Amino acid sequence: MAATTTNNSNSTIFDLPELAQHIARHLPQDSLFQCVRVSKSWHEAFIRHLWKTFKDYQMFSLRSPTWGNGLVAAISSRHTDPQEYEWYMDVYRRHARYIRHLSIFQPAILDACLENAFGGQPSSSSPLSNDIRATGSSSSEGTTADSIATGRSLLTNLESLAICVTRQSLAAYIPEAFATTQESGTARGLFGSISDNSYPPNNNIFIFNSNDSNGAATEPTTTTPTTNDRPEKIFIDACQRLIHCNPRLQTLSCPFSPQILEGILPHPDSDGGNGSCSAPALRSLRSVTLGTFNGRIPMIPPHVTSLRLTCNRAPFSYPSKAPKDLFSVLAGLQELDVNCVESGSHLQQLLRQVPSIETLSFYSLPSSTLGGFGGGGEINNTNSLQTFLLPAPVDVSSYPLSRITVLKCHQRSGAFSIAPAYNDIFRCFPLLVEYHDDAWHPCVTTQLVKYCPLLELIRVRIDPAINDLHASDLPTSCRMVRRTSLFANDRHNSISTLLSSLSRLRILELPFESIKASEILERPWICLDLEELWCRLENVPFLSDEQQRQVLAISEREKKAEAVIGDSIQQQSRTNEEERLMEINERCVSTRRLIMTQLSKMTSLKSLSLSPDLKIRNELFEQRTGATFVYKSKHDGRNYIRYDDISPDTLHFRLDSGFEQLASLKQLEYLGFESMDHRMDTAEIEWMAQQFPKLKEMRGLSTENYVGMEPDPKNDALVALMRRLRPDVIQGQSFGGYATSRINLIGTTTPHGGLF
Amino acid sequence: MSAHSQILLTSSEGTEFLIDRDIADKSMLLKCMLEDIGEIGQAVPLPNVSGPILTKVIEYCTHHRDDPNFLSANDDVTADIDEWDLEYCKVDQGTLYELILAANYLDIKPLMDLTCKTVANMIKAKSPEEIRKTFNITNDFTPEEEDQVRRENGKDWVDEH
Repeated sequence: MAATTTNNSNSTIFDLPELAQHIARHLPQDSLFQCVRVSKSWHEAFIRHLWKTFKDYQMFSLRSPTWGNGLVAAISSRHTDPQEYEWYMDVYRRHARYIRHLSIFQPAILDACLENAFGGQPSSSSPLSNDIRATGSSSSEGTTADSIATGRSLLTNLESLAICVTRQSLAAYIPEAFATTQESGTARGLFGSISDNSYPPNNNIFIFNSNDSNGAATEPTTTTPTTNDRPEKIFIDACQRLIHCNPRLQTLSCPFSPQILEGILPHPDSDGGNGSCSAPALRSLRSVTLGTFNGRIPMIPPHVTSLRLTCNRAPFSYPSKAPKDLFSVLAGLQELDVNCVESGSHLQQLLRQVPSIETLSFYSLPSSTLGGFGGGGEINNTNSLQTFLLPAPVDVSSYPLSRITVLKCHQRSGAFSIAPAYNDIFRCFPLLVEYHDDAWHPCVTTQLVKYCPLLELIRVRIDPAINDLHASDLPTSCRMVRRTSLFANDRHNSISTLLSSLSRLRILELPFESIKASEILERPWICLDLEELWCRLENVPFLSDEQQRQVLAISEREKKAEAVIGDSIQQQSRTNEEERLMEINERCVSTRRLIMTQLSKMTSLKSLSLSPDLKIRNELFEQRTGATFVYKSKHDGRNYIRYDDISPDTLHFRLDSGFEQLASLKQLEYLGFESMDHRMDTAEIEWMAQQFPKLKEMRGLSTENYVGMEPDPKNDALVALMRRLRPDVIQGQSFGGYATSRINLIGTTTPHGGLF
Repeated sequence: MSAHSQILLTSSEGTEFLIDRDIADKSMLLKCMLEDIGEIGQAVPLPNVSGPILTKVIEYCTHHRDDPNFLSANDDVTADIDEWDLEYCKVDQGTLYELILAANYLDIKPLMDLTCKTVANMIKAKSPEEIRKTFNITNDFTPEEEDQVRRENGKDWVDEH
């Protein structure tokens, strides 16, 4: 693009702060850093955006430490290098008001935000540092911290706050002398049962030590604070101060969130437990992440609509006789994300507490940890603790009916399929519209059909064979050949059942699930508004190449005969074998036509994939590089890899097999047929280019990324033809995306065509 | 009001543009104005937008007239710009700036996002000197100030190489 001078050189868009803001949204941190160095007006426009997000860690990058790292280092060496410390703090003071998103691992940063909150003095009387109003800190955004009685914060415009500290890092940072000050009467006791030994190194998530077999130690009321609680209390006080100074805070994420909030919120008993929020600081808070979770939902501010409960693998006790006030109903919550649901009854209890949620997202704990999911039957009795933790199977009729419309499960352990407590769990989701999961368990089908008539979306992105424990027991080759047949016994024709039962379905994305041709013919589909369909088609009758040739030969012979002699002799010229072959051929063609007819009725289809790529997994690729898949070409004598994962028992995209019926799919934007024996030819490509005006992407023709494959001039010609007719259509293939690095690695060793 | 009705707009130099109502509705400014006061039967003056720029804006709105996700389409900051939009933004900087100002004034969020993203792409992966060159900006920092800005914001913040 030509760099021309603007007409009015004195005023550019960069002088308008609101426009700079729009541009800054699209710029990464390093670009923003370059921007502030351009000129004074650019500095003015972009400095607030450069400092908007402050972290003391850098995800996915070892090379570039953050400015926050430097600050932490300066703080830790402040006694040996006070000059460096002062320099950092001066810069920090001048820019801290721009910070809107603070995300830290180091307590030191919090200390800096609050001007030495932990510095050896009780936080409640921490004096303001002298001379902290640095140059340039008077701004339109203004700091209002002075007026807040609880203390001062450099940060007053925070919108999100994530503090991921460990108890270890607190203890290490907060001075020892201070930590041992005895004030046990006021210490919060929720963490009383935590043992320092239970922290794995470098793990930022607390784990309850389950050393007390009856679980009573986790009761807050019965815990005696220890001296180890002191750093926590100081830290929690500091967090509370920070929150008080930031009335715009919308998101809070911290392992200590329950304790932090508990100190700010009025006690449930003080106003009948139904929180009018007295702290103005919390009025903007909408989203809270609780880093520890004791089997129940603690008090949260009334305006919070989104709650995330996280914990790390440890099975938490679920006390059945918990204090009543701690099981308060949270009426305003709309979204709940729990990553440690341990049983059906646990989930049931949670749902009772949050009657208004519309979106539920939960991870079930791995069944290997608990010896079964939610049911008493599979408990490993050698561990008394686990025996205690596992409740008996739940009477499903006692599940509360919910308003949940979106359900996101992460069933790596296959909870729904193996746990008695989850039988009929979908009964409590009568309004369900979206169902997402990591793995598809066909047994869910019956429940969805029975209980969720409003369902519009089913999306399972991950191949069950990747995560499922059962699948991993099978030999690799078995998984490779036909992964979808792994659950042959318990799959109740799930796709077919869904398509013929759920009339409101719009999106069905089960790419590794298959549907049998016969099922399509037996049960008409009723979800004619379907927009996305991702599944596999199998068991379509097909002829081998040899048989196909014979059929062709017979037809040609008969055509000739018909022309010369006449109709009647034609039948006599076939042998019995030929007759049978022609019958099979007839059935092949008619089945394909009928399936196409079924598909053609779904005129809203935007995305159709009938044969997802089977080549996305590394292990498959490794198998292919083995000698069994290498052959010597007859044409040029080189060695090539045979990619024989093409399924023959699927549709043919041929006009003489009913492909032309898909002309009704005028909305089609994506067509996927990788791993499908499509048998397209020039006529089909020309037809396709014309019939699908909205087509944006197709997968199945292009084979550029297939390493070491023998060149196929016919296929290349089709690809080129499509490119010429429809340059707007992307011809993609998913293989390259996943295993690119591996391919490059191999590719560099053999620069010339053939690999070996 | 009929969906097929037309609206007359007047650019800054007085050129008149007759456009369909659904095109005009892509601009939140015009949409609100038309909803509030109804169709007044006379031209709506747009003193901040010149004729050539208004032509460009109308071209954009016409291309996206049937876009069902018009208002939410560009919420994803990282999304790539599509082919037509990319071609549309191949204009000189003066025009691009005026388009941004017009999109801002007329309150057409997707056009605003598109044009700002285009400017952002011109900034990305450039050094301050290259940015100055691209946008014809004079460096008014003293060497000391420049060094200070670099140190304060760059020290350990990003890898300088």
